[in-house]
Amino acid sequence: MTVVTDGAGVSLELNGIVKRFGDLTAVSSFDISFAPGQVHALLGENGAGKSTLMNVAAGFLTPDVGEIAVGGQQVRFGSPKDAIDAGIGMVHQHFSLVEQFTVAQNLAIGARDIGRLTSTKELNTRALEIGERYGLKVSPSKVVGSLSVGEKQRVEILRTLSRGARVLILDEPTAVLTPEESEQLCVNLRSMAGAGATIIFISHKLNEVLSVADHVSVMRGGALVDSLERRECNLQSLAKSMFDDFGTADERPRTQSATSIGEEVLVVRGIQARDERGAVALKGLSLSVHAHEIVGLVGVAGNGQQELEQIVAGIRKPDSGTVSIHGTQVGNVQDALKAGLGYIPEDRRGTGLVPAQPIWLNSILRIYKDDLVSKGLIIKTGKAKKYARDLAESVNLSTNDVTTLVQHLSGGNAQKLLAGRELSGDKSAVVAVNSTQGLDVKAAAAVRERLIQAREDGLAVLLISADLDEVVLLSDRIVVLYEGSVVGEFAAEDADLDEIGRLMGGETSNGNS
Amino acid sequence: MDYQFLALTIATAIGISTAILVAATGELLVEKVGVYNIALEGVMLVGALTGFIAGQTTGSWVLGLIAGGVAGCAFAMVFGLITVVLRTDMIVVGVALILVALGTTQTIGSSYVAVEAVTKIPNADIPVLSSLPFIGTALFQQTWVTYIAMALPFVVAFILFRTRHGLNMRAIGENPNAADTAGISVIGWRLFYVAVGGVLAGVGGAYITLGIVDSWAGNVTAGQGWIAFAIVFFAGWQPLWILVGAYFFGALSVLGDVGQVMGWGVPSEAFTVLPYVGTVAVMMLRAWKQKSKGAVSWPAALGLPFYRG
Ligand SMILES: Nc1ncnc2c1ncn2[C@@H]1O[C@H](COP(=O)(O)OP(=O)(O)OP(=O)(O)O)[C@@H](O)[C@H]1O
Ligand SMILES: [Mg+2]
Repeated sequence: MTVVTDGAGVSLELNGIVKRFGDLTAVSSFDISFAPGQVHALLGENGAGKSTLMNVAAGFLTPDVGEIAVGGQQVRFGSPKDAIDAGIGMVHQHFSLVEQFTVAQNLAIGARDIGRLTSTKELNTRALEIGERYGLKVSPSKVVGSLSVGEKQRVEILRTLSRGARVLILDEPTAVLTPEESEQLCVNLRSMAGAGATIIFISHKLNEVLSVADHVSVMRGGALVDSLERRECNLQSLAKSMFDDFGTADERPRTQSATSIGEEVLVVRGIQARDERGAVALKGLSLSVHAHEIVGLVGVAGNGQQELEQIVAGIRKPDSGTVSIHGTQVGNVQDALKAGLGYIPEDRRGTGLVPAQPIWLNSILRIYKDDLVSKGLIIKTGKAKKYARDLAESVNLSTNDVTTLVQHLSGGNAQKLLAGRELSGDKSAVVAVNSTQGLDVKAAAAVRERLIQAREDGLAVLLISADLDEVVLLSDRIVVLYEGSVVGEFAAEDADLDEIGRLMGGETSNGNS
Repeated sequence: MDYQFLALTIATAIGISTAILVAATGELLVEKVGVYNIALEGVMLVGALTGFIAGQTTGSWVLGLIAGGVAGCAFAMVFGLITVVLRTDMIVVGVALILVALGTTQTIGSSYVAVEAVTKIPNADIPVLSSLPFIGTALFQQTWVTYIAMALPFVVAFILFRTRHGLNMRAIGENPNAADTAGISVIGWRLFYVAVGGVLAGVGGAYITLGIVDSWAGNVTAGQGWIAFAIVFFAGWQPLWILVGAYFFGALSVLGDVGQVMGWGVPSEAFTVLPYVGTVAVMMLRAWKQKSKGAVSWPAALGLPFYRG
């Protein structure tokens, strides 16, 4: 194992890496190197092989063929531990933190520089020191489960750095962050690179990539198609090299609904609810969405979105208040299904999809009782698979083998499957939460297109999103949520972003509503 | 009820809870790293018979306990290898192993049935303390094993919540991926604690045949392994609550004898099931309370096989 002295930057070279999963070659033999002191962005459409390549570099996967060199020296990784010992650390989109531990305890897992007997004080002091050393603020005694996503991410990054990572790999770090948090992260990454670290940054957000990266590499179908200096690329050229059939990928301008708004469909009335810890999450919230209308609900994460989303979908009971669709009250999931509610939850791996089951079973999860795919208690496997294949094709899934387990799909492809499933069939309303999270530009555009199509078809669409730009782009009406109440409502035409931002932050409206 | 009688009753309750206390504390350690050894009952049975045979052959209860621990460890490791390393379902493997243990101990032990133990674990009165009024009789005229068993949950609590080792253990049970990326061998630690749990359950089993009933009979553990398993849940994975749970079971177990002496006129069958029914009832109450408080805190990765990534 190479020993790298503290502070000095190291380069990472991946030469001729090949990684196959069964018949599929996720990464196919190319050379790429990452230089110290640089932010190197890795781009590519969903399923291009970005995560796979980086998992190989960080010891989570062993390559079938190929070599890894750190600081010019050959290394071989049998585990993530080997990689971190060589100075390579990776932060995944799904953090591996212990939610029940405090920040300080999380930073102490597996640490050797603490005493055999632990004292809270010692661990807290150590956490503060680590935070200071790498310039990231954390509160040592807070329980990780209670932190915002951005804060969790900081802990995860600190943990990786404190173990001696000189090469820091971040897989879609900004997909889950609010705009402010993303900006802060980019500033932090730049300063780490300034201090000599090697930063590898996977993202689908081209603007962000252009603002933070020194070097950009683009993957397609497991191969490297471009590797450019920042000054050599722009939005158009990047999008072009990501997709072989580029053309429609650009974000479309907001289209006004062709048909005028119809009757009330989804009506939420006086919802009071508590969160898991018993604190009040929703304070008598009322909201209605009409046919042919997209209502965008914006707010900083943790202001009651999750509770609302679950109550509308029928998987959580409010303390009081009602949800109805076309006048029929929704009390549970069966009601919601019958009333024709599509639901794209925030939590795609837990609530939306069953990762350990194949694509075809996941595709029919919500319609398994339908004559289309079953007869009485028997699922018609052939029909179901056919249905799934059609669905996979319609959303442009990277594979058409519907027996693939969902956990083997790339993050973006899983999201495509989920969105496709919830937007097809006979629906009257849709709740979509961060529905384009982790999607490449093209797939995101496709999902937006489908949401707009849903509106044209007369559905009532409730869009809950942390992405203000997206909400503004799609919505007919924008509703601002703060601490469990609606604090502002705007027609799309006169939405004022600054005003919305202020309301999201808890400042009271100054007159216009 | 006079004082002396009450003191003796408490002493008996504490004494007969020993096996459960030791086994449950071991199981807590196993569950803290994310594995539940549902074969606990089987492990105790194997320990009970091996300990008894070793006692009979060597004439030493110490060797008996050691043999029980070694056998329990070996048997638990079978469970560990199949579930932790090969990642087979814990319930299926556990139930199968219990049946194996029941069958084999019954066969091998048949010639030992109704034989009086040649060596028994003696009481060890603690000087001075044992002659205190009431408390002396109730607490300090037990066997060494019982004293150690009493201390065990405190030791475990210290290890879990005050040491670096304990922090890492809990990390494995909560989120093995977090531990894995920190360079902790999840599989290694899990196997180790399955072994430790096996030793403790084996010793617990041997304590039944050498210290409580002083003989061997088929299925001599009579569900104590299951009770120990349940007590870990009842305790909400808190070591000190294991102590409470085990002694509660012990108290219910002696109620039958008390009833007979006091002439309560309740059929003895009722008292035989009481410890089991009572334990379940109290567990449900506690689970209910924990749930309403939103404070149920089992290790998040309990029962989940570990895959990297
Ligand atoms: N464990 C696995 N088993 C089988 N196939 C896999 C596995 N992991 C990834 N794949 C497949 O390998 C391909 C590349 O996946 P990868 O996760 O690297 O894509 P990605 O570029 O990170 O995409 P995204 O932007 O959607 O996250 C995909 O087709 C995916 O389905
Ligand atoms: Mg990915």
